[in-house]
Amino acid sequence: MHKNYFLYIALLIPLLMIAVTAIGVLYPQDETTPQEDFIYMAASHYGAYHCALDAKAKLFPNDKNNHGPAPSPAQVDSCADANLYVYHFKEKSNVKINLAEAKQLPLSEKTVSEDGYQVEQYCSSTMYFMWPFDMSSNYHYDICISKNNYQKKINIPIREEKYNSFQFIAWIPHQSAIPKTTEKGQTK
Amino acid sequence: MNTDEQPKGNSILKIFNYIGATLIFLGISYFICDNWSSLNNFVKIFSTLGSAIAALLIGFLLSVDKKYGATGAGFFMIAGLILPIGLFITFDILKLHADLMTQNVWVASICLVVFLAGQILLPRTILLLFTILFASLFFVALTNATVQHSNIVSSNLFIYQCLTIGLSYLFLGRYLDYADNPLVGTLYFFGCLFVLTSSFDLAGYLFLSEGSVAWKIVAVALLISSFLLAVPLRSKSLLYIGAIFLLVYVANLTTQFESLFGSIGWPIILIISGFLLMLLGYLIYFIHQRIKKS
Repeated sequence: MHKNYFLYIALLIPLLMIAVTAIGVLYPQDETTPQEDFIYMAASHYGAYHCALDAKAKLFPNDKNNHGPAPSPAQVDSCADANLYVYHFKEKSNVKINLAEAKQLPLSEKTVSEDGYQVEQYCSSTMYFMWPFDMSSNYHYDICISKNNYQKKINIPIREEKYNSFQFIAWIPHQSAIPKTTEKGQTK
Repeated sequence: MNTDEQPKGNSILKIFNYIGATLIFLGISYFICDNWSSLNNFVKIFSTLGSAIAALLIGFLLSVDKKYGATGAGFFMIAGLILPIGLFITFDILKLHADLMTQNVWVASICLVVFLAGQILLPRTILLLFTILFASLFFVALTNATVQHSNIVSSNLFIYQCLTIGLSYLFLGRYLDYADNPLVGTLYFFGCLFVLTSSFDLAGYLFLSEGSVAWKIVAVALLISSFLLAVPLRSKSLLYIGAIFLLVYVANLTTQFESLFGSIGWPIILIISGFLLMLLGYLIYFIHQRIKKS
């Protein structure tokens, strides 16, 4: 075998994988989505877990599992910039709502939807630690839905709205009386 | 493929130059990290990117004269270590890219172009090494960016990247072997390591996870290939890494015994493992002798 063939193969293998990756990305993906929408909380500060627990306690007063430790006054103040949103899978839109509106919605206490989907944080295909020169301050993670071995990213505008924290609140099993809009963050 | 012009007797000189270059790099890094908050943007870019460019130019100037080739290699090493840092800092300060993934692609591609051009103009082992490194990083960054900008979530992307790079290293090592390049051993070592690690992970042998049947077969085939290729390629790396992964494979097999034989599983595991280790020892010794003879 001529020695140059080894060089050509060495260069061809990664080019092939780049081509396969590009084709895999461009190839129309299966667009199955959950039948239910969901509510989430987005906050500008990291670690807004206690804000989400507080919201869940108010939305599900009878569910003791959602009652975390009582937040301190400083924690209550820090939840002032935490907002609730409804994510609509059909429109792929996010609608801002307040707690009163959320209470009127028929929410499910389960973390898994009736058709078996879960909302997951920190979805990523890449290994950030392999690229040590992360000088950017725009580090972010993706939110995705998962079912069995299937995962798909969804458009939660964490970065655009300058949020740093995402917390799943609840699924909305019935699609009635939910505020909808065509524009992000504005209700009709 | 040309390499350094220094005679082999100057290997100690090269080692001292590389150690010196490493210390210079550490010194620059320590100074910059210690005084980062008090430096203005111009000084930050100048001390990092400027140092890398200066080191690159000095390396080229010294490498033109054969007497200073080893010292030039040391400066190329400094440039290779500082250039990506300098580029990242420049991108960050000038806010050229908001997206980290795209930024990674740009930095890796610039470093690759610089060192590839250097290698073409003035072939040196150190330039070839950094060319290969930055080409690998460019490949990883490009595939990461491609997937990250889509809706796809692939938990095995890194494993496939490893496998691709490993295969590429093995073929590149074979190509460079024709010219007796010093990097051949390193390429065979990392190539074999990456290929076997990724195939074993996909087969589920590494973390006792569920792997596909196809990958189980492929992993075993690659393991056997590492032993078969050790002699024609005259590579002890393939032999020893193959031996380590054979142990991993045997360990996986023996865990099946416990579920099959229950309480007497463990004594059987130990006895069979003992015999297999003896056989493995003879296999390694036999192949090692064949490599020496070839």
